[in-house]
Amino acid sequence: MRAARTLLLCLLGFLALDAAVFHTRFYRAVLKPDSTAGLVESILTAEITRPVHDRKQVIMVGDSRMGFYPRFTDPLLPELGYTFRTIGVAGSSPRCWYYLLREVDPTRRRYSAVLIPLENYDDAEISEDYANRIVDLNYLAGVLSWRDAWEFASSFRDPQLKLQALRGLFLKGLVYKRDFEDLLASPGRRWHEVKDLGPNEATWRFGFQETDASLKDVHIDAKTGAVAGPPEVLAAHGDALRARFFNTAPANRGLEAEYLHYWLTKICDYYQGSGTQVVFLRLPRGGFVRPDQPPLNSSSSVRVLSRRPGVKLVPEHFFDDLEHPELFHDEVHLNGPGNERFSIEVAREVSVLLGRG
Amino acid sequence: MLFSTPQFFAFFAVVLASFYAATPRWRRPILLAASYFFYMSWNPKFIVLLLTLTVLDYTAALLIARATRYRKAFLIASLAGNLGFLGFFKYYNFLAENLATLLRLPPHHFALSIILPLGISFHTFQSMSYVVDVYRREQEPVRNPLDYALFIAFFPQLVAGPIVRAREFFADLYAWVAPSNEEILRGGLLLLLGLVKKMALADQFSPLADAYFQNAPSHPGALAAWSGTFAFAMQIFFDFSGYTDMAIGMALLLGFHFPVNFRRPYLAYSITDFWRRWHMTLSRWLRDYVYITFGGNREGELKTYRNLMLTMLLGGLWHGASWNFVIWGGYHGALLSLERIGGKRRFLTQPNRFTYPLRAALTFGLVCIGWVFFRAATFADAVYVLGQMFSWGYAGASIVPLWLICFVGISLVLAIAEERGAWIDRASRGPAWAYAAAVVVLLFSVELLAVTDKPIPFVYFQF
Repeated sequence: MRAARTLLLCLLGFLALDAAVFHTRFYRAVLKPDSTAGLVESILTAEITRPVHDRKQVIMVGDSRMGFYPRFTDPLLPELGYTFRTIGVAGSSPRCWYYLLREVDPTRRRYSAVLIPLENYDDAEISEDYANRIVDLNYLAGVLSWRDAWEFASSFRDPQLKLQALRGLFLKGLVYKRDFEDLLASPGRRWHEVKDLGPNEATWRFGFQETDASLKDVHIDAKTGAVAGPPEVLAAHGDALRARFFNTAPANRGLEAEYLHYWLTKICDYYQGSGTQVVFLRLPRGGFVRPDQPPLNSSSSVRVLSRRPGVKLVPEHFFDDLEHPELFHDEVHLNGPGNERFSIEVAREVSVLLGRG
Repeated sequence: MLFSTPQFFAFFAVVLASFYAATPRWRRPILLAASYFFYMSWNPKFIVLLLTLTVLDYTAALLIARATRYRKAFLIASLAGNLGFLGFFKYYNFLAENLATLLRLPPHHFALSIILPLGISFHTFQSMSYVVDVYRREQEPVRNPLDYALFIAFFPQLVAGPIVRAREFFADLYAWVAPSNEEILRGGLLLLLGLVKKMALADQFSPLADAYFQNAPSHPGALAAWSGTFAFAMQIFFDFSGYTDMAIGMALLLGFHFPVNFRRPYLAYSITDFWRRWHMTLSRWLRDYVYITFGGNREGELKTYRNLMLTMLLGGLWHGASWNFVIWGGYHGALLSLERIGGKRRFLTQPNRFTYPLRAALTFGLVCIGWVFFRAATFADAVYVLGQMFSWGYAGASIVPLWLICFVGISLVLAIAEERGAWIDRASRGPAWAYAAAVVVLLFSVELLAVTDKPIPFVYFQF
C-alpha cells in the first residue's frame, strides 16, 4: 500500500512538473527563435500582442506559398478598410492552421475574416498523405493542450504516428528534446537569441524581401518534356520543375479529400455564427501550369462548405494572371514582384468580398 | 525487443500483471512462457538452440548427481556441448580467418555466414556453472525441468546477465515471497535509473564514440583522441550498468534478487579494485570456474601471474572473437599482475583521502587506454588512436560537448554519494517525498534527454 501511494505521488509529481514547464508559457518563452516551434511561437506572440482597435482585421494562414506581406497592403488601408495580417508558417498544413487560428483567436471575435489558401478547389490527391505529417507536432507543441490529445492523435492514419502524437502531446519534452539539447549546449547564446532575435522576428518578417530572381528565361515543352533555360536556374530548379510539370498525378484514393474535409470543416465550424467569415482562395499554381489540371469536383470540401453562410470562395481563376514565369522564383513560390502583386490583389478582392469597411 | 523501448515496457507490464494475478501454481509457467516469447521476439529459430542446451545441461546434472561412475564424462559431455555451440557460433569465423591467413588464403576462404544467437555467452556460462556446481557437489540438481528452463531463460538476465548462480536463483524460486514495499520501490527506482543511464547518457555518448572510432584520422590530436575514448568509456559504462540496473530492478519487482554487477567502477583506485567493481558476476564466474581451476594463487607467485593472465585473456576473448579483445584482456591481466608484484597493501587497500582522487584518476586513465582496444575495429586502428592520445603536437578539439561533461559531473557526484551514503537504498526506505523527488527528476531526464529517434542496441548484446 505504501509503495502504491509513493508511486502515485511520483506520477502526480512528474505530471505537475511537466505541466508547469511545458503546458504553460514557461518553456515556450525560451524556445530557439529560428526553430520550427520557436518560429511559430514568435509569430503567434506577435499577432496576439498586436494592438487591435476594431474588428476590421483579416488574418491569413498558409504555408510558404502564401506569399502575402502586410507591408504592401498597410498603405492601402483607407482604400481597403481592413488590416491584413498573416500567421502563415512555411511547411504548415490545414491541421496546423485550425489550431493556430484557435490560439490567436480564442474568443472568435477578433477578425472579420480568416483567409485560407488551397492548391485547388477539387480535393485533388497529392503524393504525400498530410494526415500522417508528424512534423505538425513540432509546429503545434506549444498550442496543443491535454484536451486536444485524443482528436489530434487520432487524426493521424498510421497507428504508430497516432501513438507518437499522443506521447508527444502528453510529454512535450519529447518534442522539445532537440531544442533543450541546443539550450544546454550554449545557454548564453540562447539567452541572447531569445532576447534579441525573438522580439525582432515580427519586424524582420514584416520587412522580408523575397528574391527578385525569376524563371522568365525558362521554357517547358509539354510535348517533348524538355525544360530549357539558363544553366544556373536549371541546376537549382530543373528537377523540381520537371517533377511538378511532368510527374504522373497520384491516383485518387480519397485521402486528401478526407483530410481537407475534416480540417477545413473544423475551421468553418469553429467560426460558425461568430461573425467571422471564412474565405478560401486558390493559390497561383506556378509559373508553368500543366495542362492536365484535376477535373472539377463539385462535391469537394470547399465547394460544399462554401454553401454555408459565412464561408466564401475567391473566384477560382482570380490569380491566373499571376501564373507567369517572371513572377515565380521556383516551381511554386512567387518572387518579390509576384508577392507584391499577390498581396495587393488578395487584399483588394477580399475587401470586396467582405464589403468595403 | 530492447529494454529501452515502449514495446518492452508494454510486455513487462503484461508479464507483471499476469504474474501477480495468477495463482502461485501458474507463476513459473507464466515467467517461462514470457521468457521464451521475449527470446523469440529477436529470432524465433534460436529457441531450438536454447532448448537443446537446457535439455543437455538439465540431463547432465541429473546424471552427474545420480552416477557413481562416469561423473566426469557427463561433465565433459555437458561442457563440450556448451562450448561447442559457443565456439561454433562465436569463434568459428575468427578461427577460420586466422587459419586462412596462416595458409595464405583469402581471409574469408573458410568463413560461414553465422548469426550470433542472442545472449549465448551469458546463458551458456550460467548453464555451465550450474553443471560444474552439481559436479562439485555444491548444488543439488534441479528435478523440475521447467524450473531449470526458467533459470536459463529468465528474461531480465537472459541476454546480458547478470550471470546468476544457480543457488541464488533457486533460493528465490523455491522460497518465493512477494517483494516488500521497500523492494518494490527499490526495483522501480533501479528500473528507471537504468533507463536514464541507457537512454539519456549512454545513447548520447554512443554517436560521439562512433563518430570518433569509425573515422579517427578525421579527428586528429590528443584531446580529440582522449575525448573520443572518454565518450566510449561513458557509453559502455552507462549502457551496461544501465541494462544491469534495469534487469535487477525488474527481477526485484518479480520477487527475485540478482547479484550486484557494477559498483561504481570508475571510482576504483586500482585495476584490482576496478575488477571488483566492473561486471562483477563475470569476474566472479572467471574466478570460480577458470582462475581457481587453473590453480589460483595456491601454487606460487609465478603460477599465480600465469593464472591471472590466462584468466584475463579468456575473459577478453569471451567478449568477442577478435585479437583486440584478447589484447584488452591481456592488458588488464598484465596490469593486475603488476599491481600484485607492486604489493598487495599498496593496491588492494583503500588509499587515504588525499591520494585517492589521484589514484582514481590514474586508474580511470589506464582503463580508458584499455577501452581503445575494446572499441577500435582493428589493431591498427587501436595503435593509431593510442598514438594520437600520446602525441604532443596538435591537440585537436574535444568531441564531447560541455553539457554532456556536466552531466557526467552530476553522475560522478551521485556515484560518490551512493558510495558513501547508499542513497538509492535510503530513498527506497525513506520518506515518500524524497523517493518521489528522485523519481520525478529521473523521469524528467528521460523525457528531455533520452535519445528516441531510433533505439540503440545495448553494447553487451553483441557479446
